[in-house]
Amino acid sequence: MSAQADRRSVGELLLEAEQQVRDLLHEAPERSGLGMARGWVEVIGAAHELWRALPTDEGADPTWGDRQRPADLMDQLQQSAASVQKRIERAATGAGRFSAPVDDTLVDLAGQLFRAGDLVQTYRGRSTSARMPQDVAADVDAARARIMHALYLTSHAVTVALTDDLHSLGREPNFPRNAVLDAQRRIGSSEQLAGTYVQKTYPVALDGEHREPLQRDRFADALSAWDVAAHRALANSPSAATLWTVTSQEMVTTGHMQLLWRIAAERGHIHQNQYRTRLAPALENLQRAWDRNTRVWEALTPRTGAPAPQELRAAATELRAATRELTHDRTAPAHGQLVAARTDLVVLVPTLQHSLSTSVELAHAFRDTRAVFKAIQVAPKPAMAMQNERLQSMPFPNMRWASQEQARTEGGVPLRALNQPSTPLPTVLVPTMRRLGDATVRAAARTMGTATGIEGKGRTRAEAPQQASSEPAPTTTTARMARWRTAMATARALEGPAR
Amino acid sequence: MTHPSVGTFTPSAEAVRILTRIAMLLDQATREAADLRRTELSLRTSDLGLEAMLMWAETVAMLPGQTYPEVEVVAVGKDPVALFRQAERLSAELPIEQFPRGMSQLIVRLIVAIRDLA
Repeated sequence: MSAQADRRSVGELLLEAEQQVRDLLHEAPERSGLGMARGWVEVIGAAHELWRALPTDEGADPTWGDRQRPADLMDQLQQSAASVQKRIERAATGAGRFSAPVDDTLVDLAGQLFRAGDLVQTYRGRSTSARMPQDVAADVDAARARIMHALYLTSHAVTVALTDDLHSLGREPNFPRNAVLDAQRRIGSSEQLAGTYVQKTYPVALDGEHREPLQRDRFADALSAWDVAAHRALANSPSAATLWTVTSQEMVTTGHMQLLWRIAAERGHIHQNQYRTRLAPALENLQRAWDRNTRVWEALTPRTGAPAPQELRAAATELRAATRELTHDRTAPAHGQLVAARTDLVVLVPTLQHSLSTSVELAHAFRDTRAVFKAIQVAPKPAMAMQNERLQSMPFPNMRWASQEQARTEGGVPLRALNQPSTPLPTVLVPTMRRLGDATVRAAARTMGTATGIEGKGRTRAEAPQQASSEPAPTTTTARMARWRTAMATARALEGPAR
Repeated sequence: MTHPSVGTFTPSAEAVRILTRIAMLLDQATREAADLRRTELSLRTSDLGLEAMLMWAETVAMLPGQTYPEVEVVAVGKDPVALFRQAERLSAELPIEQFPRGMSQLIVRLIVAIRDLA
């Protein structure tokens, strides 16, 4: 990526660098240790420059706060890198089959750190603050934690590669054993040095990391992707694990919807009274319906079978992240004011309605899996317990099938011996499961009907975004719905004829 | 270049043992979360169950042949987040490169879940 075209922020560069190093850890034994050691020298050099560019009380502006800069640590790493460079350069560039070019990935990594350093220098130059604001200080701490974590992982990867080279090539003639051994020791020490910083700061310091404004359509896009993945999985691989994943995600999404609808009502975007008396109870009822299904399939899923398809798990993970980004302030549900600051509630309300239509569609698709219920493999003991429970209470209002009795523990995990293989869903349970599916469809349809009928009040004057005229909400919503319809058509085409 | 998730890479018996233990802990977390929801159906308790289930599935997907011992884990009233902590500690017993690809993402996910759901 050329410097001109690279629009990544410092935070994005650091995050990508960290992810790149994580992948490198797996590949280290396959790479040349000497080449990686040469790359490590470059990485340390780039990190040193970036570290020095970060604002501190010892930096260009001495009035910026009273925060300590552990510059000594970074200087030590830089000195170590200089020593390694001297020691290995001749061995790595000399003639012979053990010569090693600088590792490409580490060169890329160094480039990203240099780029991040350039960005920091540029923006620092423009700052006129007399004192580092608290959020900036926290963001700088987070950047340091990420840099040092990346160096820690890089040092470990290089040490692994050098150790591997010593084991596999160490006895071969002309192998520069002493140089490699020396590099391995020095880089190993650097790993420990970086580790001391990481232990104190990672991941705690990341809490203060600056958050980019939310991607406008992330939630809607994640919802569409989830919709497609869930329909596809229900049609193609309707296992107990798939049903567990779909019902569980829908239960959680409905919980997020409750929060967002409530905020829309509190902020005056829909009628508060209608929300409180009609929509809130309907949403609560829908969440309970999904919860009942989740309990059933959580208990029935035989853990010895394959987990739900990867595509479904990935879509669930993204939808969970996209909704939490909107509804949570780090660890707690966000206040209405924060959610309103993060997203345009006028645009959000149609997305929430879209979410409910997704829920209705999925409730139907979920119910339709009853055609293949008899082929679904389930865990035998919970199925047996459910048969007994079914006789007493329908449809399982407050179920608990996992018995408290336990035969043994393994590694602290309480277990019951289970020697029976999974079994098809008992026929006697099928009508009850169908009733649960029907109840979910009714609850979803009722909620959707209520939300459609509820009166919107549009944008409140105080919350009108400045660029509202350049980005009209109907266009965005229409485009989103069109994308959703296209995605649905694709999913249906892939699913083939209905069962 | 051969990657641990493809080709000839086979995790060691120790790595498989640790992954299996992590899967069992996460399995228990799903059951404990379901128990919590019996008394309190909230965004937190439902999210705990979802995340425990998704992490459990990712762990099982890393096991060779997606095999899981034929045992049934039971809920005994333990905090699911404490089980996440146990799982995260277990993951540190071996160097990361001895696990299949996906392990580092799982570790990050565990750390984030411990931070966000505690």
